[in-house]
Amino acid sequence: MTDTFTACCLRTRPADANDRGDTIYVRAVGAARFVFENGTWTAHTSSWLCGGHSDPDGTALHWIAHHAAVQPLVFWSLHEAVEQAFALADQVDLMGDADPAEDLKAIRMAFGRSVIPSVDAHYPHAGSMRQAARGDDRNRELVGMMRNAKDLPLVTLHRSVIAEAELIGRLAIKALGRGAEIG
Amino acid sequence: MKYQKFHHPECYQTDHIQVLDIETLAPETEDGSFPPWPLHEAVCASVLTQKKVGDSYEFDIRTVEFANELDGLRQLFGLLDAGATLVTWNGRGFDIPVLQIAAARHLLFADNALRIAWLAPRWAINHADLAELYGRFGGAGRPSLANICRALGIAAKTQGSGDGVAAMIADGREEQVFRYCEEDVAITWLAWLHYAAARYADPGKLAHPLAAFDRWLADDDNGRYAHLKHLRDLPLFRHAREAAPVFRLDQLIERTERRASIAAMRPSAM
Repeated sequence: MTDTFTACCLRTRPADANDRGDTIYVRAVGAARFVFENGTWTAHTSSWLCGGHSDPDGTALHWIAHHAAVQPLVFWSLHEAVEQAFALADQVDLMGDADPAEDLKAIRMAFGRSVIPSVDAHYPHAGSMRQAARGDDRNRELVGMMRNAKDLPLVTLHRSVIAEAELIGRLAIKALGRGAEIG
Repeated sequence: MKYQKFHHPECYQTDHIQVLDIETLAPETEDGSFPPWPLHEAVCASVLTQKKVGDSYEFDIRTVEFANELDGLRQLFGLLDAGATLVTWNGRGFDIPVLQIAAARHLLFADNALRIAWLAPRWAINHADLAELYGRFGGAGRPSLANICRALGIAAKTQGSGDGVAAMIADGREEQVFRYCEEDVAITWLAWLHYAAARYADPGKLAHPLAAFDRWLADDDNGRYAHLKHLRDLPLFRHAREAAPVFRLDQLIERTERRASIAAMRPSAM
């Protein structure tokens, strides 16, 4: 991995039973761009939020593709992220202006640039992850508390996805063996 | 054309796999050599089942105890599925003849799930004997499973060895024999995945089932397969955890492009 990468988290929830056929609703996307400068890693964060609905315009995928452009992309679980992408790509109205295939290709290229596209692959046991996340207790608690919460104010949702993206990035840096560079 | 393109037909069905291995006891020979196969009696048999369901895989590893040989055979035949590709290590030369002779000893001629594999010719596609496939049917010399695993970077035989089965049984450590047998089917399956991926030039044939197996082992909360969890630390598993979703993303891109081209052909889009 180069000295800059983007850690991303995609928060979704199962769709309502009376939905037109979607399987998930998107709730929020969080990204943290990590840059190594002056001997330490700095995270620049941003998020895209919505109340939790289907995404016929493919906005979530487009947002990720836009943030991933040129950067190596890191998720907590690539498996989970791809399953979410499957469900979201199926929702996109292809008669509109959205081009999910292009966004997916950009995301695919970003994964290809990443040495650690899936952080969980490097922490196969819960114990090893907890060990690595020591010192990130605040973020870990925030993520744990809010991951499965149903109705969150948007500000809280924002904090939660940002905390998750930051945590993912820090764990990726530690998996690279560069944990000492985290300020 | 300088080289003629060689197409490998997908002869072995790779979605539904059953890996079989047995542990046996036999009277010692005077010269200390490996006893002839008809003298062996099964102590246990393990079966690893991999079945593709939709885009996912289901797994199961079961061990049948042969304290009562007839019951053991019946249970084992109940586990085996005629639709699966049977995978063994030297099964054609040992495991299947040993079980077949045991079935004959009990006059169990019908309802014998291994009969087809026993009768099948050497190149039959319902049974993949990896010792023969890796040995190229004698062309490359018959390798041992431990050596193939060493070459592939797979930690093998951590629970014991086939030579130690008699001692383990004598010490009342049957459970260790069962764990050893289950480890053997797991590493034989890993060797099979490498073979299948290489045979069909498809890295997904290794990465997809392996990533699913990794999740299956991770979800084993009650510790039933704790003796196999060390496999998850292999670099091979880490590679699969990352590679399988990427291959799946490639499938999604293809599917989305196909959907987009179909959408563009609708009259309303013209």
